[in-house]
Amino acid sequence: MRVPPITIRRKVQIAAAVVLLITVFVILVAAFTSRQVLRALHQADAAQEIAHAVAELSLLTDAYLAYGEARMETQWRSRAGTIQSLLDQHRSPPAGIDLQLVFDSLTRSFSALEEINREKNLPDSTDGDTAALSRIAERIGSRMRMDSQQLLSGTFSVARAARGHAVTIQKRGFLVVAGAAAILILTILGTVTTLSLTVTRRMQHLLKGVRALGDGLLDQRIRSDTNDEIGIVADAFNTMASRLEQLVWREQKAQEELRTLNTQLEARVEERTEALAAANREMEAFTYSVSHDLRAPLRAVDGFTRFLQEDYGPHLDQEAQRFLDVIRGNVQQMDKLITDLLALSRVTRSDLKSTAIEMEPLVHAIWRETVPEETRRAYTFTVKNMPPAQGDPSLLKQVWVNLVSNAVKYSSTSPRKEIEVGGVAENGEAVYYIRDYGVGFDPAYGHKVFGAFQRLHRSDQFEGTGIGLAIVERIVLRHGGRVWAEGEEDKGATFHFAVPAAPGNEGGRTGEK
Amino acid sequence: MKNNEKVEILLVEDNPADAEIAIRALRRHHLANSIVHVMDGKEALDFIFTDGNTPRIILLDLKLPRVGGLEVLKAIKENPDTRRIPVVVLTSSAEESDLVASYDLGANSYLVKPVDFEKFSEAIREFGMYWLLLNNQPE
Repeated sequence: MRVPPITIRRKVQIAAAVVLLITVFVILVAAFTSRQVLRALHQADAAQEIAHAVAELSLLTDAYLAYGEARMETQWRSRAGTIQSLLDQHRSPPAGIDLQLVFDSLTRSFSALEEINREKNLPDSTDGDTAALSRIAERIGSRMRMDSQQLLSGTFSVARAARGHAVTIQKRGFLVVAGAAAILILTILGTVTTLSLTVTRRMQHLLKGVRALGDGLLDQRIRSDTNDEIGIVADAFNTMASRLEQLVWREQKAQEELRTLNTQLEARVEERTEALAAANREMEAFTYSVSHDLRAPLRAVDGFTRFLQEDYGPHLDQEAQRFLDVIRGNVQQMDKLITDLLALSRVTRSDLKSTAIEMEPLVHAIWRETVPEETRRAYTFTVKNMPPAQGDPSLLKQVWVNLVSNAVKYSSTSPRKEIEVGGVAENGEAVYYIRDYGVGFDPAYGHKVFGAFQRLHRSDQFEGTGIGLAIVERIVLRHGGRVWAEGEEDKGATFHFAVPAAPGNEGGRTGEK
Repeated sequence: MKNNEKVEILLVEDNPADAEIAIRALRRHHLANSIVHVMDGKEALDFIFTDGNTPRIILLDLKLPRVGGLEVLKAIKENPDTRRIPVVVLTSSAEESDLVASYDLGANSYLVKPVDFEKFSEAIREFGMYWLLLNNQPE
């Protein structure tokens, strides 16, 4: 059902115009009717006035007939003039008789009476004449009475007719006004009802759609088959709904893509983690077989060399004995290498714990526990203020063990046997150092001191596998820290390392104790 | 292989050199009066469960062919007849997982075989004194 494109506003305007027209019509009809009625009533009044005048005129006529006085003639004429002017004013519709005609006859009769009266009063008239004239006057008088009667009844009937006419007009006017009012009421009622019915129904429709949309039914659309305001609102609603649907759809699609990406990422992370775990397992298996399989032959070499010394020692000369000692010495060296290598790999594999560590007591304990007493007596060991660190206690202990033994080892041949340890907290880091006055190293090779199996001194000068500082570096790096060294040949070396400071010690204590 | 004489020590070791070293170390401390040496876990289980031997002590290598050392340990410690026999686990490595697994299964001692024979000999002496001479097992 396609309603022509009339807006609701236009409909209301049309209805208002119709109402206005009908109202104007009613007012016009009422005005016209009242005017008509007034005129009819006026006419009736005039007829009554004429009737009064005619009655007076009739009395005057009678008096004139009886007395024939001349002043009465004037009175009569004056009255007749009044009637004539009334008749002139109210040209009444013909009501059976023509009043003017009757009045004219009356006037003519009165003129005849005047004539007779003048004749009677002439000096030469006889009694016979007078009697004859009186008889004629009598006849004329009776005719005049008849005329007056006629005139009277005529005017009465005119008045009656006029009143009847007024009533008729009034009735008709009332009917017309009532009809118009009825039409007016019907029009208003009809307009209001249709408008309210259609508008309300469609508004409810609209509201339903809006509510459904509010509840998340984004595919909701409102039937819009009109071009009026509600149709425009419905169109706007539909546009909004489809935009919204599109937006939500896009959003959902984006989220879906994100989910897919996340899933893929998770899968990839899982894959990599699995690969890492596999590599770790392989590494573990490797270190296990290194420790097990490489040690077994070494054990055999050492054991059987020992058996040779025990069982055949007396038959061997000194040089042969020395060879056997060299063999056993090298076996020990290799065993140490394997042990250190395993220690290095364990540093990389072990889980990192994180606690606050008081460094001062730790370093003192390491000095006491890992350095032989006679060595300790030969050295001056100074521990300056050290901030606490945050990290793995056993690993950081290993760092100090290695650094302290390193410092002792490389200053064992030097005259100045002094080791100094200290630290400072800065920018969330605890930075420590250990200084010795031993053989030091050539700064040109400084970058090599932390490399595994890298040695800057000949092994006949200082024993070692070259793993100790490599372990230090790995542990510090696993803590997210830094390690570096300064040295000068025959003057000594200083090793520094920085690890996270224990919380609450930012910009901590510095200076000497 | 039913011995009339009471077996004192069962050595389960697949490496002949290691076995010889161990036997020599035992002999050095006069602990080798009655040693039975088997080469793998299967033989060890047969010796104990099939032949019904109850050695006074078992020296058990972990890395063995056929039936591994941990399996042998488990079988011994799960059997009510044999679970009181002290088992000393011998191994080349001090890997944490081995150590924990051995103690979980009820190993009485754990000995990492050192490369240096003198140290090995010393370790054998110590555990021999403890398990064979001082630690009186209920019969």
